[in-house]
Amino acid sequence: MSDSPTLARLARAERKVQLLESMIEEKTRDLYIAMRKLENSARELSQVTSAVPAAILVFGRDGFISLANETAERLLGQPTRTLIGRDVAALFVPGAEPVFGAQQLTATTPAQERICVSTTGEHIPVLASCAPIHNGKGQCERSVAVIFDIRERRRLELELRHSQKLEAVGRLAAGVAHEINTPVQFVNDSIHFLHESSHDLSALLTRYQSIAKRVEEGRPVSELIEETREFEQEIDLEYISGNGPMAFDRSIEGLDRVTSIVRTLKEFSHPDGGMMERVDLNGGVNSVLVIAHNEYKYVADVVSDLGEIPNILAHRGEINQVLLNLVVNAAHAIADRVGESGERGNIRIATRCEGEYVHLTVSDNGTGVPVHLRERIFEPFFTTKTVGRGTGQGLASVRAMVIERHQGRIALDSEVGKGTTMHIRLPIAGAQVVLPT
Amino acid sequence: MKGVIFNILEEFILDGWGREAFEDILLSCPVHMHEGHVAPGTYADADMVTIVQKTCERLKVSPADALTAFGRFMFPRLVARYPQVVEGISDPYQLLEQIDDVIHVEVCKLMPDAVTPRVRCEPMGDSDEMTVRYQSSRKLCEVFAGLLQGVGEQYGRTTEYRQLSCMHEGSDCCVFKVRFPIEESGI
Repeated sequence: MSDSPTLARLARAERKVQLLESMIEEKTRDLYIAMRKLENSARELSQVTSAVPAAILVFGRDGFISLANETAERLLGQPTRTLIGRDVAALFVPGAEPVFGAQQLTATTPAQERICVSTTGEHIPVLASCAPIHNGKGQCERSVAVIFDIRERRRLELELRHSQKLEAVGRLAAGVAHEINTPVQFVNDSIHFLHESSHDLSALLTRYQSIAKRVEEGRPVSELIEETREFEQEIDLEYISGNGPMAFDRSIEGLDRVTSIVRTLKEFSHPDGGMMERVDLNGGVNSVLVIAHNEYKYVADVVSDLGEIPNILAHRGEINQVLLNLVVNAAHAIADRVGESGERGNIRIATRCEGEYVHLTVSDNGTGVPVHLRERIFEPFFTTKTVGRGTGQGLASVRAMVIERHQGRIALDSEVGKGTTMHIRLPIAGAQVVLPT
Repeated sequence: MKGVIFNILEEFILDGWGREAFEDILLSCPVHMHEGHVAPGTYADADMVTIVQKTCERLKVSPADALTAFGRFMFPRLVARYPQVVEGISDPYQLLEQIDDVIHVEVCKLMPDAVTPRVRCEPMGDSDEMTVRYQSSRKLCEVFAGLLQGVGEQYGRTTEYRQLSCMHEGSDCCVFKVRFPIEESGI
């Protein structure tokens, strides 16, 4: 017995089942494709994070790491699985700046130089910044730290600074050679005088010995004495007696001066190890005045007003470089003003202790710096000097070394036609002291 | 329109008028509708209009009354199929407030190609009457009115509403004033 509505319902039910089966197949296919895309995205993301030449650490509000890339493994010397769950703050040596960690970030932090500690205890200089990761509701539940290993950069910077220092020394080489040559010249003159005098004195001594022998033998000596007196006149014994000791004094003084110049030059040229040490700033001033003597001696008189200051924690080589650059600049500024007039300018160097830092001033009465150039003179390669007198690296290096390397401060007072005073403030305790604004 | 609505409409007709009436209505529709509808499927809005039209013709009921009754019938069945959508909602006013930002978001997670109406509620202040704005290209405000009744019943309340404007009369949305007074228990 046929029942049309029932058959229709059965047919409809069958068709629905077919439809549903088809939809399930389609959804399954879509799901498979979506899964493959997700896997590919995850793989691509993993490849990208592995390839990034910076350590990436994701951590929660509690500061515990939830994700670390391969670069983080290599940098810190520990596998990812041991990094996961660690407190991110524990990976850094505590510094003056706030440490990444259990805090809710509201914005990306600027890149900061920090020290990471590897599993072997090695201290690794890094450049690190941190950014919040916002969820769909705009809340920060996690943060990501990006950390660059800057050991190679530090090494290159060290090499560059040493090269710059040698470049500066090289530029002064002619002057230093002249400085050495002057005392060597009068040592040479003195030694020649003493050499000649020694022959005459030796001959005179022989005559005195002959006289003595005759006296012992009871023979007449008056004629011999007269001849000897004539010989004394001939060799100008009075002159030799007066100038001989002075010639020795000059020779000793000259050799001492050469020794001092060579020692200072050697100290100045010696590469520092990149580590900070206690530096006598006043001693550095005196050394630089020796090295740079030929640069200023024809155009300026130097006055040192060096106060009682403690040794500062600094990079010795860089401080010497700063002093040298400032003194040479001052000398050149004066030379530009006085020209061939024969007038002499003044350079004054003073040091004072001001609270937690030392204040160094280098003043000259040279050309002064026009207002529109006062920022530019610190730009790398900017120079107003003629070719051969500078490459524009001097004050740029000073700025980099004082501000970036020592967290010091530079200020400039200048008046065109009157002169310039450079103010350098350096923290006694080294970088990490916050200077007043 | 999603197939689940068609399924509930089928239940509505079967429940009210029986199998024979439903089969007659279905056969009076275009051939492509004879296959029936599966819940996860997506079908033309015009198919729903056709079924409603044929239903009203066959059963001699007014379309407005039929649609409102259908809306009231549909709400509890939607809740039964997708209880997670209304989970944690404790009163009818709260449910209406969460239609757009929560309920329809969850619906779209389950059915990504679902096209949902826009339902906006204004703050009530000290009043117990809520202003609700319904907006949809389908203009099924009668169904929405029925859904409001279903919402009240879901939470054991009566539903009192009045419609202040209608898209069928040219307004850009249908504005309802609705309140859900708590039923006094008879002693």
